[in-house]
Amino acid sequence: MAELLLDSKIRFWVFLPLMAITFLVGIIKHYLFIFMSNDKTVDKQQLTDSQALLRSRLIRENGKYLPKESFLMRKNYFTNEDSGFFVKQKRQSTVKNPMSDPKAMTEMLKGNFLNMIPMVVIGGWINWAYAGFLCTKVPFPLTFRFKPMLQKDVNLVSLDASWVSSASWYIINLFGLRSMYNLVLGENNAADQTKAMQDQMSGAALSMPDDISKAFKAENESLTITEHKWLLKGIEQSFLN
Amino acid sequence: MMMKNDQLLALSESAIRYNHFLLDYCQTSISALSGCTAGIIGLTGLYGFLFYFICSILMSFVLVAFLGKNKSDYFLSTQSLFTSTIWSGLQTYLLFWTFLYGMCIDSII
Repeated sequence: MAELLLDSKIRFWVFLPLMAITFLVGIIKHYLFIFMSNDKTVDKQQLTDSQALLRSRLIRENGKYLPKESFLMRKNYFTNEDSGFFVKQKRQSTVKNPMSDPKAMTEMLKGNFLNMIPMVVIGGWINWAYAGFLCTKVPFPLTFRFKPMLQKDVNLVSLDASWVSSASWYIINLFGLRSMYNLVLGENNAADQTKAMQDQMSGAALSMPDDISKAFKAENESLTITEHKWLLKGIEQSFLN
Repeated sequence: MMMKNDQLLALSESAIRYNHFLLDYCQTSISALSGCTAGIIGLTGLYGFLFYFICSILMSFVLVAFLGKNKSDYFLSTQSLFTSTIWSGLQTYLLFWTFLYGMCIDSII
């Protein structure tokens, strides 16, 4: 097969700009997210409930560092059959429709907005402006199966699979630069589009449990069956030795 | 970070997570740097992959040497120093390798 030669202008007007655009859009997105996110106002009842759940979980996990009496005292406070916190509290199940709550609606819109703008607008613009270029060649041979992945919108059957088209180069950058954002922006950055997509799919963005009485019941059960196991047995001896 | 008490281990989860974050940080740096190097000197095919694995295993050895015998205070197993991040780093490596290879090697452009 004949060797292909690319115009060196493609390098400076397509190949390099695509990487720079992808990277800088991610950074702009991170700072926009910080700029636009305001503190959520949570109502008092909800906060109390979620803190109680959190505390109970901590007791379950770290109760092994507490003396037995302390552990039982805390367990009793939560799970006593007559006066335990989880038993006594009666909450009406408030499965709120997010559509009816304007505040949640705005938050959701804002989050979607910030994710969709780069995905649709930048992606669309890149597809339009840089359509149909071959950018580069990956420095290793690939099999025929990789062609649809690396040569989006260049449908040439006889072309070697190692050539990369501009649309695919953008997508490769989108995924490959993820860990670079961790390096540049810190661990929990907002630039990571793919992570946001995963969150949306699994519904992990909703951290507050919807039905609080159900959560209480489950937590009550799991705390009840937790046995105390003293982890620091003989700790004085092992420190002295 | 961690203390030994009979057979039971007391761990701080946030400290473990932080250590793994730092390990990831090292791995990403090494991947990016070795990717740039491989692209600039124009490695192709199997040699490029070999170069990556040599570099990241070297980094793991440097970390092991750096931590010395305190190693078990920070990481549960020595093996995780070598294997836990090597695949996620490969993605970054491939990106930088392809990028610098495309930018520097004249034979294709």
